[in-house]
Amino acid sequence: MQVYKLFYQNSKKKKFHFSKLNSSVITGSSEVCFGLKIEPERYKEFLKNISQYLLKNIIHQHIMTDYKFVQLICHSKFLNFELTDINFYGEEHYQNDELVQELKEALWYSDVNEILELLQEALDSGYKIFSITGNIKINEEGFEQIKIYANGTISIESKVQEGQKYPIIDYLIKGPEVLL
Amino acid sequence: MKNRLTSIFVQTIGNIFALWVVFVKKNSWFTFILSKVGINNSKAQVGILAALAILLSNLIIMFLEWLFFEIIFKPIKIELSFRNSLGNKPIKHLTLEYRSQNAIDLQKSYKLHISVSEGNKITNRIVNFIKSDIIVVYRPKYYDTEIVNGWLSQTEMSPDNVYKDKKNNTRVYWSHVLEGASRIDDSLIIVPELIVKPKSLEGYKCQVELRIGSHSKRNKFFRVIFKMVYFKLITVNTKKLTIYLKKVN
Repeated sequence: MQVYKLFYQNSKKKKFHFSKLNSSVITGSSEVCFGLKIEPERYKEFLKNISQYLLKNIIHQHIMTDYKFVQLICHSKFLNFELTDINFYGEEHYQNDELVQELKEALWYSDVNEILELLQEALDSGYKIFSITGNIKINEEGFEQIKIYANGTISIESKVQEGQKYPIIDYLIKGPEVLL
Repeated sequence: MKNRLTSIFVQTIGNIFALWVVFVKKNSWFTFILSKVGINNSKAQVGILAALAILLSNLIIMFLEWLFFEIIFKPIKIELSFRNSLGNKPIKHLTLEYRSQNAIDLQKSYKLHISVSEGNKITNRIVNFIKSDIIVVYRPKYYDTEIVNGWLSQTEMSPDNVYKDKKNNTRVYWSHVLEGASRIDDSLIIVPELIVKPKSLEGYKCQVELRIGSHSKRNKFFRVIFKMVYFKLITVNTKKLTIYLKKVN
C-alpha cells in the first residue's frame, strides 16, 4: 500500500518541477493537483524537506473534511468511485454501535441514499470520519482500491503505473466544479 | 495614515477658505466695525480677520464632518474577533499540539466572529452597493486554510460567503448583510469556521490578522472608490489571533 499526501498549486504563473521534490508523484487530470508519496512515520522529515519549496512555489496542502467525504459519496457515480467502507475515529469503541452496524449493512448493499442518510445521522451524533475506502475505475479492464483519509492523504493498494492519472484527486481538491 | 492625509487635505481647504475670507472682507463692513472700536492699524485688522476666518473655517469643518459622518453617513461598526471551534468562547491563542507519530493528522479549526452594527440607511446602502470583504492574513504564511462546509475556491463562494482571492488570501464577503438594513441596533453576526493545517513544523508562532478590504470580485472602479471612502463609512475594531505549534511527548 502506498500513501500519498495531496497538494495543489493555485498560481498558474509559477511552474514547478516534480523532479525537485525528490518523491514519487501521482497527479489528477492536470498536474496542478498532485500527491507526493510519503511514509507516515517519517512525515516530520518529509515536511521539513519540502516546506520551503511549498512556501516558495505557493503550493497548498489538501485539507479533508466530513463535508467533502459526504459530497464525494454523493458524486461517487460520476467519479467512477465504488464505495466499499467508511471508518470513523475511535471506531474500536463503538464497533457494535447500532448506527455503525446499519451503515455497514447499507454499504454491503451499496445503497447510496441510505448510506448518506445514516452517515449524516452519525455525523450529527458527533462521529468523525477517519477514512473511506472504495474502488476506482482506472481503465476498461479493472478497478483499483483507494482509501481516502481525513488527514489529507490517500492510499493506493497496487503499484502506481507511470503516467496513470487519478481524476478523483481533482475532485477531492477542487470539489464539484471539476464535474461541470 | 489615510485618516491623517484626509485631515491635512480638509484643513488645507479650510485654510484656503480662510484666506479667501481675509482677501474679500479686508475692505468691508468688518474693518469698518474694527475702526469704530479703535483698531485703525490695517495690519492688525487683517490679523484679527485672519484669526476669525480660521476659527470660522474650523467650525464649519467640524459641523460638516458631524453632519456628513454622524448624521448623513453614520459609520457602520464592525467588531472582528476569534472564537473556538464551538463558537462559545472568545480566543486570542490557538495551540496545535502534536506528537511525532500523529503530526500528519495535525489540523484544528477556529471561528471568525464578525459583528456588524449601527450605520444608517444611506451608509448601509452605499457599502452594500460598493461591497466589502474581510481578509484573513497569516503572518508568516505557514498555514493552509479550508472551510468546514465546502471548498475554499477562487471561482465559487461557499454558503458562508467565504472564498479565496487571486493572492490565495481567504476572504469573507460580509457587506451583503447590509442589504435592506437601515440602522442596525441588534448586531448582525457572521461566524464562518476555518480549518488550519501547518505546512511547516518549524514555525512555532503565526499571527492571524483580519483586515477590511474591497470585494475582490468587484470591478476596479468600485474597489478604488471603496479604498477612498471606507475609513469614513466603517469603523473597525479588530482582535488578533496567535497560532502556536507545540510538540508534546
